[in-house]
Amino acid sequence: MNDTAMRVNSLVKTYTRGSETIRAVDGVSLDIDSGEMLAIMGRSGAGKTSLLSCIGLLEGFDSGKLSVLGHDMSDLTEAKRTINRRSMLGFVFQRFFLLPTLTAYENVSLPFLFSGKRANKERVLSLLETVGLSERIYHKPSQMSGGEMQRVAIARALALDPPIIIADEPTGNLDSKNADKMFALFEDLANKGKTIIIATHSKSLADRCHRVVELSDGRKVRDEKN
Amino acid sequence: MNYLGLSLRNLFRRPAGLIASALTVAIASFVTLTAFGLWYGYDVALSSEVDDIGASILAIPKGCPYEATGALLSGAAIGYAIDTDLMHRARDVEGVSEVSGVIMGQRGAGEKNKVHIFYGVDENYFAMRPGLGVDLVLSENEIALGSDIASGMNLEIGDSLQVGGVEFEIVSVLSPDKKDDNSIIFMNIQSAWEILKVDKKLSSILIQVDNPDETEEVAKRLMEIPDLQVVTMNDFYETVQGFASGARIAIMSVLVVIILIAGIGVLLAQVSSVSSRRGEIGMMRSMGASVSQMVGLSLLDSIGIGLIGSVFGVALAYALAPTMSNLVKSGLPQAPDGQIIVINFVSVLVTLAILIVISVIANLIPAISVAKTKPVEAASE
Repeated sequence: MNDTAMRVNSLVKTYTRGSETIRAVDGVSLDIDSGEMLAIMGRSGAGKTSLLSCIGLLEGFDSGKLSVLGHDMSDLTEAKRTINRRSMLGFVFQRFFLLPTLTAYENVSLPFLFSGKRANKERVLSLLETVGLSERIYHKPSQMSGGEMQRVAIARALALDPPIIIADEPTGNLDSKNADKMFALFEDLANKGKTIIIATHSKSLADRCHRVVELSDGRKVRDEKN
Repeated sequence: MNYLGLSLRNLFRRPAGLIASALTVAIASFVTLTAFGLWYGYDVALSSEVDDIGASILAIPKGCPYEATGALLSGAAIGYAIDTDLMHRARDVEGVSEVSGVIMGQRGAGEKNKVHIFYGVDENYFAMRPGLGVDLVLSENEIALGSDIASGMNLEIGDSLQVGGVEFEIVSVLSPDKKDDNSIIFMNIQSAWEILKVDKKLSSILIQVDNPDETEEVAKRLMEIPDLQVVTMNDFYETVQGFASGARIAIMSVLVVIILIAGIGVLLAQVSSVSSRRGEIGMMRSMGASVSQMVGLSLLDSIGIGLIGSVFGVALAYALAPTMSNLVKSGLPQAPDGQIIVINFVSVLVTLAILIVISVIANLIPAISVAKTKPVEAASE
């Protein structure tokens, strides 16, 4: 762990529901090192997903500063956020969102299509091997278990070799055995230099991360290294 | 994997939705192409029939000109009130190149003495109507038979046939494709006069002009001959076309409604597809798909529905053209013979283009919905 992968400074994100304004992220600041595995914890509605959405460039924010890999990401247009997301970030969500008509191989190849690059067959096969699915290359999601689908989703997130992986409740739909396997995968990726940011409810899994940040009502209430 | 492959996989993911939306497009495509086919085919069939009569102008007895002309075209008989003298006067009119007199009658023929229409024709008749394929001049006691009569009575060239009590030798049988003339017996005009017991009378006069561009001027000169009514083939063509215009307007009205329904079908299918895939679309956006890429994929989906549906509709229109042709003909007065719904390549292309454009337009609302789907929707689902 050396360079700073992400620097978040006084970030604020509000949503309006009717006449009510909700500060989903309320002045959060944190620096995340490259290769760090960071867990973001908090109860439902604490602001975990909103924070991940902002730092993952899935949406803009109201105020504050964000830099990713040394590049200022504040006040970007949607188009620029898309381009930066494509090259810097990979996502794993609680729901896998694999395209049901595509095989595991094709699902992992999708990011190449959107980036305008020709799918690198060797890389896709190697990623599926990394996540332990080399025997399931031509299987469709309906032929796979939840754990296997989530591993395909991880391989897909890694397709364009992004330095940062953002995972929002990645074990939410998995049993403890599969959750454990997947965390081991994240640990392995962090050991290889990837920055992993995970939102999770699970304390036992959070304890396996290098660092835990806890949110409550959009504010950072704890930031501890394990 | 490419965009087309991705779109096709997505389309076939919901077979029921695809079938329902493609079916509405197919029906619209079928009606569109059938309407175009009628537009084109009716004109072609009518032109062919008018051309086949072998004259630019018809002179007929006073009365309803179009009824008489229509009867002539469809192989029916009209009375005989024109003196041959008028034909000679018509021949002398400036701009007339050739004339042929015809007398029409009905008499019993053959063993069963069943009544048939016969035309007594002069020496110019078959030369002016080369389409009939009878390359001869009938002398007395010689007849040419329409193929329906020949086959109905099991007759062939060289056989004899009694018409109106007179024995004739069959010297020619018309080809079966001459449908309007296939129930007619052609004989020398002198023989016809004898059978009908009239002298020097005609039912109509076929008139050819030196210069087709001057047909109207020649017709005006012919109208100066008393007791002669003149109909140019252009007039007749336009009048009969008018009979079909009502049917065309009705079909076009139905067409507009059906195209609207097809558009709504595509719209509903796409709205349903987009709303059930918001998370998926959000996921693709989060992995770097741009708004234009996602809207492009959505447009490809709608083009796919339009193409699948319209190709099916085109095939259906092509297969059912003869049936639809007979159906429409049964409701049209003076419908020309032959198939009046003719599918040609240009109308197929235009139909495909219309239905694909409609599908794309119908996809505008779903496409806007796709464009508004934010990547964060994958996280919030």
